[in-house]
Amino acid sequence: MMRSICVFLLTVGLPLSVHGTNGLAMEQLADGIYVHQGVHEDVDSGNRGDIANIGFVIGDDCVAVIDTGGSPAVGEDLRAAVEQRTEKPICHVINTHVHPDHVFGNNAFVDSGAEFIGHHRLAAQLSARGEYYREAMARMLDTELDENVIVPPDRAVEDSMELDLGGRVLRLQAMPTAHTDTDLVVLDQATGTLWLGDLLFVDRIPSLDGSLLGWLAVMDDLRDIDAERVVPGHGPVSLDWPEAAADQQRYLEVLRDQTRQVIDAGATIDQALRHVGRDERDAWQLFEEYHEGNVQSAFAELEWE
Amino acid sequence: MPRVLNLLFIACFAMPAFAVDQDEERWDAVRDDLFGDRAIDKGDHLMALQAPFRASDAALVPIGVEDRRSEGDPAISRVWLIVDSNPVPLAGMFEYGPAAGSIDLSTRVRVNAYSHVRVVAETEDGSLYMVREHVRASGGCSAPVSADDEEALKDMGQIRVRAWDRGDKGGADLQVGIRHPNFSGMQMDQVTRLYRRAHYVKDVEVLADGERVMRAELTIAMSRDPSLRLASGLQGEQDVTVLVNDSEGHEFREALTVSPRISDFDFSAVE
Repeated sequence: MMRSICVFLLTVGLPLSVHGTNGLAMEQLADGIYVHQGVHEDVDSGNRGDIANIGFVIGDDCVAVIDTGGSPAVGEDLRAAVEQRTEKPICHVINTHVHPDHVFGNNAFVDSGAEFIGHHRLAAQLSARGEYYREAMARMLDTELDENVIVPPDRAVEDSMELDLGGRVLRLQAMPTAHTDTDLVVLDQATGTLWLGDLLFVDRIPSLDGSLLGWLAVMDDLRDIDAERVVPGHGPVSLDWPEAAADQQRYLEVLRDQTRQVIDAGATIDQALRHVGRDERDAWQLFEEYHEGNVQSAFAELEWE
Repeated sequence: MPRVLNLLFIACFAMPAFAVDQDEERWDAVRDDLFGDRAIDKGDHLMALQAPFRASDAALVPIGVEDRRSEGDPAISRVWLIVDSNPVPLAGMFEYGPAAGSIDLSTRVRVNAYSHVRVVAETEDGSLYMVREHVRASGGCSAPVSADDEEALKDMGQIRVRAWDRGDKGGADLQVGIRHPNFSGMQMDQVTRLYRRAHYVKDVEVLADGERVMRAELTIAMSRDPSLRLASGLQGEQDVTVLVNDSEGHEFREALTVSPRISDFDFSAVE
């Protein structure tokens, strides 16, 4: 069904807005904090890669953008959204991790003079995966993407870092391998707003590209953070913490426990795919698209325990 | 391949019609190379090939060969596992020994582009039979070196064997895991931006009570941490020896006594 819809869209050649003109719907979460919610779909020409949550924080002196979306078009829209709300310069673009739906809008901010900031492994990961992502995204977006779409960070967060935007300080923390090995969280201390990037999925099924046990360990640490609200990488943009993590926590634990169980019972990966986590099917959007990949990753990780 | 690629290759790719013809052309070349002008018959009555229609991770595609023979069918001495569109189409050649209980076999391979996966079996009298399936996956051989690869490199040569009672089918399933990055030679190192030299498990031999269950010749198409599940014809406790050689001349060996466990998990209960 999913595929036939996609094929249909590609076939009829839906008009593409490669350049950002649409204007992004932004939600104001607190003073100076704006977030746009991406759709729960896979990247295609219809959604222009606008599938992740992206946003910005306005300080007294300047603006920090947090993730830029899945295409230059979405990045341009986000920049327009910033410029609509403030004349202050954009001083930082923060990338929460390496996945293209979060960083492929970077290029729209290059001439703003902003400093690009990411996890200390982000540059290496972008360099290794970038070309691959570029080809795949160009195909899925059905558009041309040149090399400039990959914008590596100017500055790496080794452990933690503070960014003073004037009147408010963002605290950035590089995390150990969890959703990916480039996860970075951002806390706006003034309002207690915590950006978790794809360390938190809500409604859309989490996708595992790092370490399942690592992710669970990181969530244990994050749970203790006293935040007024959190912004997940996918899902409603302003949620209570740590309650917002409950579904994901259950899913990851089911994935861990049932994968261990079938490994212990002598399962092949094939059997694991058919048995692990099937009860979670109705709890998540895009379950069929991503769940098997998660089981496979979990299996490969846990069979060497 | 990084699991992240499954984010990208899930939906929306229609298989271009011409790719099928290309596939056939490649197969003709591979076939010529491996089997010359020997006839290859349909093998569906002898075996079944289990492969996912759409792989969720192209670097870790589970492949199974299931024994379908009944009484009177010929003995099978070896099988070749072939992924047509891989840079090295032959993933492995698996030769069964006297201690093999069946031709059942499960492993994991890399698939670099939409492709037919084939198993060609040779019977004792030298006849060839083939089964095939189509798999949608892409980029399995060229995924960048990952943290998992480095982890595997650290523990390289560690061998794990688990054994499961095969119940009515008789004998024991031996699950053999070999810790090894199995670098394909097409994977970029994230730090140096150079391609990591191919370094992979080449030969595996598995013995049960001193008799050969299987000997396998493998290529870069096998996934990281090569995994083989094969059927020993021996009942109950048995001494299992695993001998491994890799492409850089490292030799690894594990010898242990296993008691096949009876799985208490009901794998037939599929919703």
